[in-house]
Amino acid sequence: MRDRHLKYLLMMPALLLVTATVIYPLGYAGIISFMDWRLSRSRVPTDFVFLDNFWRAFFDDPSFLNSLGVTITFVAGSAGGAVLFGLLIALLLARRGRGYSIARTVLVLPFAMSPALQGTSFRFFLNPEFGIFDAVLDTLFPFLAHVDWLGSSGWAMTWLILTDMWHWGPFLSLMLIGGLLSIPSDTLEAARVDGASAWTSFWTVVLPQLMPVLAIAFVLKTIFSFKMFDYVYLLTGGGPGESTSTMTYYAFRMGFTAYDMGYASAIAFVLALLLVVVSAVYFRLLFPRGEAG
Amino acid sequence: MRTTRRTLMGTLLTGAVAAGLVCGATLANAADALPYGLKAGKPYAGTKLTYLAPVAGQYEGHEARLKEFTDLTGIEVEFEFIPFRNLLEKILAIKVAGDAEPDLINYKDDWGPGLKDLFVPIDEMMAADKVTLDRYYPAHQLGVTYDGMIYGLPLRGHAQLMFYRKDLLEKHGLSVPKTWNELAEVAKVIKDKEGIGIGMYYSPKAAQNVAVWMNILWSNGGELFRDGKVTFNTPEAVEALKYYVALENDMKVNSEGAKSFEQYDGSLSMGAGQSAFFMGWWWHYGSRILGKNTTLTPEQVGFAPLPAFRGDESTTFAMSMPTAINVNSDKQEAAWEFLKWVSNPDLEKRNVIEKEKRNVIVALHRKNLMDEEVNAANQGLQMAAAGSLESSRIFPQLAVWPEVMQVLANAISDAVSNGADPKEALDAAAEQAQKLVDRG
Repeated sequence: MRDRHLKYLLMMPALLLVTATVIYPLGYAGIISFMDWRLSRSRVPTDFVFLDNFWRAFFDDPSFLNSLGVTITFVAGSAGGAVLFGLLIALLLARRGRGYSIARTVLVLPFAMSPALQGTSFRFFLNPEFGIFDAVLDTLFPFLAHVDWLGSSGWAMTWLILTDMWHWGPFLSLMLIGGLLSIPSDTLEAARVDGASAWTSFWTVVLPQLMPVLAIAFVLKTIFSFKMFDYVYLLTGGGPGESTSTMTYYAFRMGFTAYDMGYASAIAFVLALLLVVVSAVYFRLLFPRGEAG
Repeated sequence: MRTTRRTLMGTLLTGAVAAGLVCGATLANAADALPYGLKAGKPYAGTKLTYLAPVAGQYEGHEARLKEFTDLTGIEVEFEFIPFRNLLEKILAIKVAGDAEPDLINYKDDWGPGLKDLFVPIDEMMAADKVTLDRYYPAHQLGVTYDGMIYGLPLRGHAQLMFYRKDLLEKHGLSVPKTWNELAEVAKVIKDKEGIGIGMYYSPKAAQNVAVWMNILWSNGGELFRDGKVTFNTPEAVEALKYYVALENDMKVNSEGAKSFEQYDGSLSMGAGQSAFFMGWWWHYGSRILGKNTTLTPEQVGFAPLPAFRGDESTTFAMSMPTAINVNSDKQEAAWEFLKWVSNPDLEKRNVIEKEKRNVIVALHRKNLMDEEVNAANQGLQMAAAGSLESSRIFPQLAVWPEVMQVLANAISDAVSNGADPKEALDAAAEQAQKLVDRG
């Protein structure tokens, strides 16, 4: 009896924390998304409008549909790119030794840096007049000398993805290094004895055994990519045009430029639903049926 | 009735005593009277106010002189500085929370219609203390007046000017352009010979491309709205956008990076010697075109009104940043005392002529813009801006304007960067904007 009460008591702090920081804001945003709350008219939500905000998003607002497409493009590019980049680093650094250990520690730095600082820095790096990235790329590839890196849709999206890859790739590589180092060495030795090349060993021995870690890294990165805001806000402002306007950026714009908190909440809620689906996949991968309990 | 000598003397004596008392009281009152209409007797002594302001040298100048206000009134003021880019978010958070602090809020004029229920109308306070808006230019008066009520006093404001490299124009025997076509021709010559062009900007970030396009639009006889209807896709508006786009894509007279540049980048480019022209707010002159980290000297930089598109006259765009009193503040009377002091023309003048610690150039009072001392300290910039401000207009006073402006900024950026047809881009933007206007 006492044990039963004790376990609830011990869980209470965590439950309260989750309720205050996750359930309450999510629930409140959910309620607001069904309401008319234009800050230019009232400081509090006014009328219940049922599905009006969602209807407007999907059937009467091309900018929202654009932001959905931009988000999917960004998620595909950044999640895929960051995992591949992380895998590449992991393959280079998955060795035992002091030098590798130091290199792995240094890898945490890009992830530890504030995205705001990175966004601002990359904007300077890419400046066509004095940016260091621009200068280096112009020297290496003279045919790119007059490219305005953030001035066309394709390049702006590319640099958003590359900036995000630079932030996440090293962190994901740490996950993958752990996975690589846990692969039994006898399987690799057996492949070598059978005369397999390094490439064949990678494809037939390493990759299959690394797949669970890769899948988790990919799904985790996907979830974070869906929430991309910082780099869009600092690097491109959603432009050129609306070509890099992600859903989070668009929700922010609707809330803080259009003063329409009800509509902004509806957009945020659609994003939250998308994340719930991706999270479900994530948990399914982490805890396959039969292992969860 | 006979008047005796005694009666006459008594009357004169009584009159003299009464006159003496009246004069004494008047002199005593005069000794107590404070400047700028501040209340005598320090009725709000001990009150502590908070003031939300963006980071800018001008406000730092006010903060540095606060002791004078505290000595006069006994009121203390704490400044809360926030980067301009985050100011609107902060104000909206204050509005939602219904906070009583800060007591005073500085904001951008086109945010006013959407925020006005957060601010106290100050018409009655102004009338009681004989403070009027006459001391400001019409554009700045309009920027604080919504639905016939005054909600703040303009503390910061900008006129648009064209900055140019005087030395390069002289070197190549060129005249200061007065029209956009002349500008394109002169810029082409300088770009061919010096490799630097106009520090133009088209990025939708912060929507500053709209302000440049609007100058061409107005000078071309176009309007953003007519009778509540969006009209920024008329032939005049399309022609204005085509021209603005052509500067970058066809005439190629801009410096590198214009497609992704915002206004800050344009002035930075000019300050770094990478652009020969820059069109934008005058405050850039004091800190980004000239300043500690730039390569230019005052002798190299000239300024003139923005060029005209049709005819000789250009209609430029002006903006202001008024300070208002928080409607939830419980210290509104003390806040009004501060507002009277901080908006006084003497303080503004000292801020722009005392250059030891900061190079402030922003002044709003008519008399300061025409003041010889002010102009001598700032290379005559204020006099040039005064001419521009006389015919300036402001953004439409609509609660949805900030979002309409962003829609327009995206359309302009799409036309220049992604090859969107200007007519189609403006048609789509107009449709989207009309929905926003109708929704209110």
